[in-house]
Amino acid sequence: MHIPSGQSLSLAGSARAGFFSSPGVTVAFMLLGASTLVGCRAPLANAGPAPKPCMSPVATALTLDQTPIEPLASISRRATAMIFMAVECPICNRYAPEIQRLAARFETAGVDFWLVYPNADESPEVVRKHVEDYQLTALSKRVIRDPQHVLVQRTGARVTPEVVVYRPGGEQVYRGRIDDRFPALGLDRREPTRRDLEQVLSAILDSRPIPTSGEPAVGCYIPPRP
Amino acid sequence: MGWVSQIVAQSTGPGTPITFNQHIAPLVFRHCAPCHRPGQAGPFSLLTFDQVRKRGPQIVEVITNQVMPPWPPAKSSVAFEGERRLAASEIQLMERWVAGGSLEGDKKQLPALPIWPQGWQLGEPDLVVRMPQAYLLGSAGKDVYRHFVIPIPSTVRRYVHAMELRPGNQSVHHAFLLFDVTRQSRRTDAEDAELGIPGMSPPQSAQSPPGQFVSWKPGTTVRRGAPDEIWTLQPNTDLVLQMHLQPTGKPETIQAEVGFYFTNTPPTQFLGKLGLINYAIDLPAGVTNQVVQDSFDLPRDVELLGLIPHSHYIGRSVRGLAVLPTGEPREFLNIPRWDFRWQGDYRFAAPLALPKGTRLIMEWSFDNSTNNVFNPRNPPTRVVYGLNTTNEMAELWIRMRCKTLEDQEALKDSISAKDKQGSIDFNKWRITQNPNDAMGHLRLGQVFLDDPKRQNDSLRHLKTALRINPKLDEAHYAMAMFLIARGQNRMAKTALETTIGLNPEHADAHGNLGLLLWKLGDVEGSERHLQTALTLNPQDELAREALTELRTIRTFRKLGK
Ligand code: HEC
Repeated sequence: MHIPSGQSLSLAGSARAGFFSSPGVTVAFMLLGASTLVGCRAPLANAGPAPKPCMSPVATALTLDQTPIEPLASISRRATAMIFMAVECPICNRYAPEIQRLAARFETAGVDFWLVYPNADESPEVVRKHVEDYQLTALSKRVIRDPQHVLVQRTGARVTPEVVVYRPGGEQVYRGRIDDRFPALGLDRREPTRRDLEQVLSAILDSRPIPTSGEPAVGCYIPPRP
Repeated sequence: MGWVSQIVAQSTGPGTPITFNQHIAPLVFRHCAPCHRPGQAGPFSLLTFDQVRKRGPQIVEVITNQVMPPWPPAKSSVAFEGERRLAASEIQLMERWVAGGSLEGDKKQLPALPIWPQGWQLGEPDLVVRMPQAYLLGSAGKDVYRHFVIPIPSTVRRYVHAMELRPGNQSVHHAFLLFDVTRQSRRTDAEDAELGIPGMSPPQSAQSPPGQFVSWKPGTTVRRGAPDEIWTLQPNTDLVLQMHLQPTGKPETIQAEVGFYFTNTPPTQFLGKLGLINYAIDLPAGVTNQVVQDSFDLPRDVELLGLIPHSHYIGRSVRGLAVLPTGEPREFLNIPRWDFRWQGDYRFAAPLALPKGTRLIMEWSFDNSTNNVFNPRNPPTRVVYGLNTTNEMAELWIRMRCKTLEDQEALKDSISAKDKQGSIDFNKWRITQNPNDAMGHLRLGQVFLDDPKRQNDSLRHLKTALRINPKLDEAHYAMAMFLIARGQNRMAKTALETTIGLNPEHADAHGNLGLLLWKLGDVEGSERHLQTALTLNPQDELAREALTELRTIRTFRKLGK
């Protein structure tokens, strides 16, 4: 296996509950999971029907190169925002420019943005194309798939696009919408009146209390694993 | 067909497992797949078990909220053509399917996909026009309203019975097809370098076809036009596509095309269009349910054929009501939750016959509070009538048919009297808001021009308009008409020349100057301007006749010499 470039493994984690209760000790899990997963690459790599889940002792999220990855491994930064995405979800698509804007604004200030594609039937190729079509390539180093719903289960994400924000140390401080532009399916405002994610990240950076723990996101429900 | 519903009832009774192949596929194929398949407006396909299973809960949500299938009108006593509505039992079926684990069921029970027409719905059109250039829509930002001007390369008069718009891009949310026999739309388009004319209001000369409404929204089906849908396309007309574009998240290129289907049968029916319009809209910030009305009393028996409701963002609901001479009310339109994005025209499933003396009532309600998610102003501010997107409108356009030419004339007269009064009320209000509103004065000057009792008012308003804006070609033109009516030909000539100096393509100014010069003895000048008038507007029959006559006389004169 190879370790994704630029990733520190000092804090790699597993999918079990109580994540980060013992930071730094979980590297072994990841290595084990990863080596077992190597054998599953081929079926996942084609764009055909959803592959059978691999029988691995430890499931992980995957990079687009099919390498196991733990997004919170690099949590030494100020915060981590995971945005759950889907390729055929009109609301995700319409948020792409806003995601770009937020990432550009906050990445230099110390926030890592991850795009997490949880739908097992969206192959790496399909995801890559989505990232290119919707001009999200600035984030492409941190685009991952979560076909086994490791991150879905850990975060409790229900829909795409839903955002989960972590502080260093692995504390989940926000789960919800990006902003209030889409109050419900079929309704949209010309402009958001409240930019929740932006407010939350600004508060973290300014060491202020976090203004909200999250209003529900509106979009496409993440389907259960096949 | 009683036995069919019985079988369905048996097969969906409590305890029966609901499966995709048996119960859900027929429903989705019929109600969703027309739009949710490749190449159509729906943002994803709903054709297979996997595609539908994946979105189960979302589907339940959008059908319960009546967001899908998109059909804004609630059921009322008069049906529209192509209504798209799910029965309560169908919604329940979908809920039960999802709640029961989204079972696939027996493959043998899966019905075949419906067969949809490939390409143009009515086959190859007689004429296809497309936007001369593609319009580039940015990935982000607010919705865009724009008009694209497309010359129609048809130099003879044609009778149109059907048209199909192919938007070619999913960002097109709705469109109206308008036609301009003048060159005004082209000129307005050329005012800036960008393709198309921005905003929700086209140039005044861009109109829907005579007696018709033509619009496109996702899922619009095209069929061979009924006799009342045939209309005359004049030579050298421009198509003006009014489009509502919604950014999709990635850059889009839009190059819509329109196919025309012609017939040899000319239009024969006595059609009319009525605009119920309220200009007195004044919505304080925060009002949640301000009602605005307009009405019209039918001077003759008519049949209503179709309608278009129109407002901008903060319309909340709209109703159309016919109060019969007996006092009995009949609701013919009820959109309980207005969504400007799903605008379009509606055609009644069968013409709605109404007797003379019926009162047609439009009732709009507006919500200018923060409750209204479509409110573009945050915090809300006062909103008044106007054509800009920052203003509001309250309109209900109704297409109708009369039995005889005489009835049609009577209807036209009543409608034009109503329009005139509407214009007076609106423009008077405009100049109370802004005494230096040149257009307001111009319009009042124009309306009073044909009222013998208001000639002084006409002159006063035209003079004021010209004082405020001496470059207003229409005001010089109206002044010329005023002077011609008084026999002040020399002054009228100057006014027409000024009009043409300001707007060299003012066809009517050329036409009238041509006639005036003839009267003043300048035959060459007359011929030149009449010819220009005819080139600019080939439908100008008066100029055509005058020109023919003038040339005949000149030929005779030459022969005489
Ligand atoms: C007349 C065409 C049409 C029909 C019929 C139709 N849809 Fe849609 N649907 C659309 C369009 C267009 C959109 C994109 C919405 C937008 O851009 O505002 C859409 C969006 C959706 C969405 C996503 C909503 C969102 O806000 O992201 C769902 C879910 C959906 N449709 C389900 C259905 C189902 C289920 C049916 C059948 C019961 C159906 N649709 C019938 C045109 C249609």
